[in-house]
Amino acid sequence: MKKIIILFCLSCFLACKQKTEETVVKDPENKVKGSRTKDYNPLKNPYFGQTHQHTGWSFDAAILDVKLGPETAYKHARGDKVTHPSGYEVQLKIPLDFLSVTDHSEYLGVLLQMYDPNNPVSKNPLAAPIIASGKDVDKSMKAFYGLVANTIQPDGTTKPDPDLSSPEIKKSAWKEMAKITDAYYKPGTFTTLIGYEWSSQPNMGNLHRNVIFRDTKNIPEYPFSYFDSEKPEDLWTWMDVQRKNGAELLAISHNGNLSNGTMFATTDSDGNPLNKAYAASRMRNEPLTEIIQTKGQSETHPLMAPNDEFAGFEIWTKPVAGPGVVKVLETNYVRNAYKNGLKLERKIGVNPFKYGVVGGGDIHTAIVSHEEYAHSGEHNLKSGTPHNRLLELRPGEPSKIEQGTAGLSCVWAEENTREAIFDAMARKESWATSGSRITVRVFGGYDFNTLPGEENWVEIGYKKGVPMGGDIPKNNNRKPVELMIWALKGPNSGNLDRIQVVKGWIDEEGNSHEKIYNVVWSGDRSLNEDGSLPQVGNTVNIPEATYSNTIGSAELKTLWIDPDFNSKQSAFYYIRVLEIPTPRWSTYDAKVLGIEPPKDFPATIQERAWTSPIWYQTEN
Amino acid sequence: MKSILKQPLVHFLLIGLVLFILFALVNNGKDAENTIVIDQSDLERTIATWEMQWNRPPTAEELTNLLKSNIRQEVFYQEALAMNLDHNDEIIKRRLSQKMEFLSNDLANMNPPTEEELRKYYSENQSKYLTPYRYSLFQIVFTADKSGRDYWTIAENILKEYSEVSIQDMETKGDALPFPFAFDKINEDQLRIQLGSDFAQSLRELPNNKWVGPIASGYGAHLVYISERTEPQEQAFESIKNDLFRDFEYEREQQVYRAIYEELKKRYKIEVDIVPTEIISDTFLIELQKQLNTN
Repeated sequence: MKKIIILFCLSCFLACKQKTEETVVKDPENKVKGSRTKDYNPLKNPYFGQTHQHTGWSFDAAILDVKLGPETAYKHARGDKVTHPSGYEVQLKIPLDFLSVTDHSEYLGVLLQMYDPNNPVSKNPLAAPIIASGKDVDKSMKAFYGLVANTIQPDGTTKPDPDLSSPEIKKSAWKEMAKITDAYYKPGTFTTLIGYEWSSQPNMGNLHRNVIFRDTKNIPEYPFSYFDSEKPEDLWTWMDVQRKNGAELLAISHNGNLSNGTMFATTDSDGNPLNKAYAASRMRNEPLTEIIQTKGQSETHPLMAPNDEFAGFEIWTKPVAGPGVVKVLETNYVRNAYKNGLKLERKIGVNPFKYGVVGGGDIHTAIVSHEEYAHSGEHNLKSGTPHNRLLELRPGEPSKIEQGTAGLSCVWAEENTREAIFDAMARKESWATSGSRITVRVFGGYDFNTLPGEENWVEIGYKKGVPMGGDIPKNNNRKPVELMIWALKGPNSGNLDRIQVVKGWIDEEGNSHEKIYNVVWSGDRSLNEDGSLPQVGNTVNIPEATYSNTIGSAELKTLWIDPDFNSKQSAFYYIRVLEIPTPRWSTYDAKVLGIEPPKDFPATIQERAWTSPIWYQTEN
Repeated sequence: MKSILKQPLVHFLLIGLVLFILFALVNNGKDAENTIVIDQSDLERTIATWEMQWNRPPTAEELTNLLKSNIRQEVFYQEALAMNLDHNDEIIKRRLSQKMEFLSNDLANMNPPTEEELRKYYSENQSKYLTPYRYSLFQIVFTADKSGRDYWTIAENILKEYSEVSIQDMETKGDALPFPFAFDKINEDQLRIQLGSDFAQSLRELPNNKWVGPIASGYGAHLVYISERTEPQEQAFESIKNDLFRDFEYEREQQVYRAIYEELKKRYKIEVDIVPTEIISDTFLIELQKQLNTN
């Protein structure tokens, strides 16, 4: 081994580079293959992660210190202490299980790869000094300065070089991303997934999607960006092509709330009514949507759901860029998409909006920031400190106070590997949280004859029913749908207030409805006649930014039988778990600054989890 | 060795410069004003890019549209350059500054570390690669919603009353929560994930082989019996070689990046051209000028 290395050091550095890499770094695939990891559980474990993380490689991340690239994000997510772009140290109290860095594809194409002689770029005369500089880093740097000098024309202008924007260069940035993603992957402990964000935004309507791959094998040469097309239909077609090439990938849409009605529109990008092929393509490629992220929740809006007392949660009102306010339209929101999906299914045969849910970050600092008590800002250095966030608002800027912490993406998977986590997302066995680590499980079916928490309840759940994201089998004997529901609070967060079932259905005339059921709750409260539940109380001391877990429950569970079940009505059911009120991040910030929390925003929030729905389809 | 290599470098720099000037001259001659030439390589590049995305060559119509849109972009680009619209554009500044950083990263990684370098790096950073604390333990928990507000006192009393009973007899004394009674060889990170950071941290100082507590977690008051604690340990070099390689490369990227910046910055003198006001004092500006000219 040593001999080999010495030999290579004597040979030219290019050969040295390639060969030594092979000898020192094992093929990352070795890590992927092989036996199951230690915690493998056929009945599945809960895993918490982040599927939407930007770093300095996202070009809109106004982090001038691009050293906070994907490496920092992976280190921070797995629990290392790292330095925030604003200069202070951050460390997660509880590490995440998985992370996908999803930088904007439009800007991944900037790596200059001049050193590979097979790469046409290396024939660029500018590259010669660098290639020639050899092994010595000092000399490489001098060559670099030479390059800097050479690109400046005699007349002082710069000469853009067409070779430096060729496909070969784009390819290498993406390749570098794959290399880093592999380097931080530890099967059984920490999963990294390669992905990117497709940032289409026609007419300021947000149509963004994150695209995530099952592994780094057979990934495309470079990502499909909105420079290639702004239409999601084209993205899905491209994804189909990738699948034919042997890649496995899925898309996660986000910020329907900022889409001006386009995210869950009932027409395609050209204004035609949706058809079966469209619906099938959409669902084949895009099983998930972010129900919450820093730029607000997309579950529903108080205007859409006047009877939902918890709808007014983390509402974002500003466009991502530009002036004005966001249009509150029905087709922005996930719950309405579920309802429209049932209608469309009846009409065209396939439900185009049969989405599972995850929570997103969309934080651009390379730092996961999902806990209210440790928020470190979201979009740039300007929101990196409490002072930045609460006291430095300028007219025209998007409100920093409106922005929330990151949500979390959570899955039930057999083990913490790329394959298991990706597959859980693909089959929608996923839930979202507003940032805290609530664990929630649900099975839908008939005749469970057991209760959640009883011995073997999970086995029975899988055997006689389906988990979140599934379809309840046909109902031959007209029994009502049962849901076994169980939730556990996060170890470092507030107790649980209640569990709700959100049901939507279409009646025989094809009209859609929704109803929210309080199904289990803490303390000795009882339901009012209209089905509402008295509030859990509030222990938050706002000036001190503290709360106590003297109200609420650590764990809630119940077997719920749909009292309004009608076998002729297609329906969906999803679970919403609410925590007791705890301080919002802005209240923690206000305490640090010794000021009052911002007036126009709630000082306390009820963090929550949403599961992917379980669907019931009528036989006709 | 270094001094010998220095000369070829100079040569290469000179050759590079000459080539560059030639290249620029030739190019300037070809691109007459207001002519956009679509040549063989443009065509090939356009087709190759398309094929990479779609796995098939473009149709004639698609190709024409691609070239049309390229030309549209080129025309606007050239006009924008002529109007100096690229100057002081924050997006362009960021983009180009980022390109320089990627270039610097590539420079840093041109020479992968040798085994010797990796071993040295490991010996200097051994504390970063220790295994986490690991425990085998038993625990029961008392929560406010099940034992009531006095859950902490209840836990204390149970400990007083039953600390001498067998381990198994303790199992049923706590509240029902979905955590195992026995954790076998669980590491601190896993404990943190299940029971919270404070709980995991507390275990480090607890005595072995006896019931102790209460220990606070996010759920309530725990009584804990630690049967085995493994302190952090060094790992074999071979077993973490990939991690060392990764971290070494990353650190060197950062070093090279800083070094390049410092070197490049030497070419610039920063002048502060600001008139002092009531808010911005003269002394501040002098200090600022000094600060900005140091790295």
